[in-house]
Amino acid sequence: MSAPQVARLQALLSRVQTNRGKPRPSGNGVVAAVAAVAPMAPAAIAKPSAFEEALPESIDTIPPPVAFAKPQPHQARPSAEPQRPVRAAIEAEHVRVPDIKPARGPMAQPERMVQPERAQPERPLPAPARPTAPGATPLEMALEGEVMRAADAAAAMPAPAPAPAPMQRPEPRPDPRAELEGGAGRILADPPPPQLTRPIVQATTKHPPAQPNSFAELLKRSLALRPR
Amino acid sequence: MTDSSFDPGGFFQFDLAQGNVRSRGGTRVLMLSEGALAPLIQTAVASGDLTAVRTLGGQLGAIVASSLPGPITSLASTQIIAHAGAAMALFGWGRLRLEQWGDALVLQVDGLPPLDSDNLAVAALLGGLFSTISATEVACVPLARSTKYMMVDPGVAEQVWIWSREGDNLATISSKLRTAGER
Repeated sequence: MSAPQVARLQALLSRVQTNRGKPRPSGNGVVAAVAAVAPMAPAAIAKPSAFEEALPESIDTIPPPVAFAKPQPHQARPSAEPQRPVRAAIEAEHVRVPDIKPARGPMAQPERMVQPERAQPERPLPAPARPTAPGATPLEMALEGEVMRAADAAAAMPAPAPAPAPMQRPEPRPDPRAELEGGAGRILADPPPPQLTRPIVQATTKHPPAQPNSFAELLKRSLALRPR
Repeated sequence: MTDSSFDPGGFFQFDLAQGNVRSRGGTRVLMLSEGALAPLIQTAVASGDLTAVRTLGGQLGAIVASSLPGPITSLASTQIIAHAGAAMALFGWGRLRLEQWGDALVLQVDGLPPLDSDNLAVAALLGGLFSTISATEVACVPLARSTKYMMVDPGVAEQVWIWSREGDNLATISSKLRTAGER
């Protein structure tokens, strides 16, 4: 949380304190929860998250959280200490928060500030937790947790596979004989193209190789040679 | 000559008591060294009469023809050359091979001692040999600077000889010839 935001929270705190006791039309406990947060030194505040950057000017417009985020075991969050003023603030405002056991006393600490276990389908563990501002309020933690869970869920989702290319059937080749025969022809056998009957070396030599003729035939050809 | 069925065993009969040697078929032969034969050959070339050498070739051809398994018209050239080469080798006239350059048949004889500078004696020997085998007059023209002999009709032998002396190689000479009747 940046210094301007801390100053803004302090201003809101003073405004909320002046309005305490007045009837509230919406019964929003967020303001009280925010008011219970003690201002922290800017040096101890980590870099604000993108969600905090996008907070509106009036925090009163923020809808109340439905439930607190389920704490992740691998997330080192201060859980017990900041919950106390939130609980006190909620009870002071007589706000009914679902999924929270009724308090035994005015300052009684709830046994657990977690959402009761519900049958949920197993999902893969989210990505490693992003750093949370030390000393963050439960609201911030809750909101940040929602954002983080949403981001983690989005990151955990596999990338949609590219749509397979539509199968293209090869176009049937027209039968040249069918055109000649008026389209009534039918190929019964398609013989391969003719092959060379002699090796290519013999076919390209200037002089043809000696045929397996008799010696008499070869001698007859040789004796028939005349000057050109 | 790997296809030869020519049997050299007992080709020469030596009668030491009478002091004569006869070849297969009863022809008496005289054995002489190359040092004695070469001057005789050179004399014959100088006189322009190589009839004796051609006669010797005819005798070899008769030996070959008698050893062939069938008529010459039904035998392949490899069989003919195998038998002819075997007969020449028995008489010490070198190793015979056959080539074909276009339609021209070319003989090659290796392993001969120098008898005359133009190889005319061997040409006469080959001419007599293949004339007897084929029953047709054949001229074997020696090609200059080689041990090859082109088998042609005696009527064109002089022209082939001139071309060879003028420097034409075998391919050129072969290209200068055409089959009779060809335009």
